[in-house]
Amino acid sequence: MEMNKVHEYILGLLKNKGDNTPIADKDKLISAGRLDSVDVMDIVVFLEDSYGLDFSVRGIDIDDFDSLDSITKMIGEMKS
Amino acid sequence: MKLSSLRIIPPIERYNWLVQLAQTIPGKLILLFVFALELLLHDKQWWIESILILAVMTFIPKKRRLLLLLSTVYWLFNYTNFDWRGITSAIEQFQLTLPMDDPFFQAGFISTAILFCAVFHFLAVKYNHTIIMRRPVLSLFIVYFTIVLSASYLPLPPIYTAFIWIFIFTFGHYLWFLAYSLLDRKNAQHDGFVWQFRTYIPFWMEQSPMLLPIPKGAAYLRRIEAKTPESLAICQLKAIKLLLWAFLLIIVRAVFDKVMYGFTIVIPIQLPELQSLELPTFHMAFHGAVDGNYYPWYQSWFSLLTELFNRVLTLAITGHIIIAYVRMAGFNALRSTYKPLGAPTIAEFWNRYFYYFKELLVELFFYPTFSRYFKQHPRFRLFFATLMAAGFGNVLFHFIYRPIYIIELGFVDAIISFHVYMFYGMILGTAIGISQIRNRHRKIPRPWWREKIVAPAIVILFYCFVLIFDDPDRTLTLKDNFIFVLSLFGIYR
Repeated sequence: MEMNKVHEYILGLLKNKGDNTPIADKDKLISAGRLDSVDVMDIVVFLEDSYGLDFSVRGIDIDDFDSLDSITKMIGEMKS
Repeated sequence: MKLSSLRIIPPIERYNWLVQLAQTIPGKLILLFVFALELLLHDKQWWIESILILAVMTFIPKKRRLLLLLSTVYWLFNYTNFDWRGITSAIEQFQLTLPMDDPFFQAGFISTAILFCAVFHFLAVKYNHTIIMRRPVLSLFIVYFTIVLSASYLPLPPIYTAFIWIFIFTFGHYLWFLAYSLLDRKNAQHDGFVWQFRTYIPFWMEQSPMLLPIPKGAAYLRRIEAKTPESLAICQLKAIKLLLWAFLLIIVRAVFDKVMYGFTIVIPIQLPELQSLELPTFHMAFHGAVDGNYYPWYQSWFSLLTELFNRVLTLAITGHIIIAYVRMAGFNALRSTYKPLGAPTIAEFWNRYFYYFKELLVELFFYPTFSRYFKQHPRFRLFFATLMAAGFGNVLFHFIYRPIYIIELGFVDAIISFHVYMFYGMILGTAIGISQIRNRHRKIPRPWWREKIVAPAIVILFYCFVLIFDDPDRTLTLKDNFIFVLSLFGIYR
């Protein structure tokens, strides 16, 4: 469920950039150049609003946002 | 066929037969041969060593990490260009006889700086959860400026002060590389210091005076490393393309400089005879206005446009050459400069103009600010974090870039001499911040002529304007800059 929500949000971000290629869970997003560091900021705001996550302690590590898998893993770690 | 799909250099990395060929031994040899030819075309002095390293990396990709480490060490003690002449002249004021040209003396300071990085990294990893190391990059800056202030104000014997300055000078070369290593420490797969060190001025940075980690640190290299023979082949084909593209841009710049200014730049091919417009460069127009020798206002405007174009070209050429090496080594890094003159917003230009500088500012300044401050005020949160990165971080980077000014002028006067660049950082940071907020609220697609012509033209005009305040001459004041600004509108002293 959580994955679907994040998946949809990222698809929306990509669509806004003219990228309509579907994404798999392990697909690289940032290192492949599909998303950039400014998009990460959008995802952070989305995760703060949707899941109540607080990045002030963990900090924002761009590696955590490189694939759907890593984002889901990060959400799990931050919620536990 | 769409006009936008036309390519000067064909997309060879998409040709299946070529990708297949590039995975065979003869194919790899051909790629290395072509890359070597391109390096010769670029007149690269150390092409043999570079090709040897790249050849071993190509044939033994599993040892890439180790090979990169060995090449970094080899390059460090053979070719890496520290500006020893600059620091030598700066510490002449201490009237000491120091063996500044002695390679062992230099190696001693470089080794000390590296050892300092290793110790700091070790402490940051080991004491990760302590107050001091919870934010290790902030601690790093505090330590750096404590050392700078100690050298500036502690009443030490001149020999100690000089040694501290030489240490600051050598350590300054590694500061931003260490910062990336510190960011990597929380990562589950983070590298130890030895593996971090392979990214500290690697061979692909050659003699580049830039202290900027390109392409970022060890964490980024792990992410973009080619994992399969096919991805390595594609990566290397892209490297060959990019190095050729850099050479074409060198020709464009040579033609441009000849036609605009009448300058003859030596390049490996013979250019035809070209008529020159003999226009003033920005340096001539700006310094002429400051000295009261004005050029006509329209020539001054033109000098700004040509200066911006020239800067974009130069940055693109330097970045493309570095990234071509990186890709040939098997790391699929993004380009450093990508079509900035077509950017429809000020923020997007900044993103495309010098990607790895922007990334450094984003990771070290934007994210930490954005994740901590003004969460209840989304617009101001975004604006403030952008200002901290593009303004404060940018100014800090350039202030640290030349410690020689602090030695020569003293700490406070060095800051005062930097006030024009601070003004530049403030305008840039504010404009990019506003541009970011506007982008977020821009929902309706704009007509193509606004997106492709009007918007980029406005963005170019803005960057032409701010580059007036990005002149390296630290003897000038804001008043001098505004004398030039007024002259652009025909208002003379």
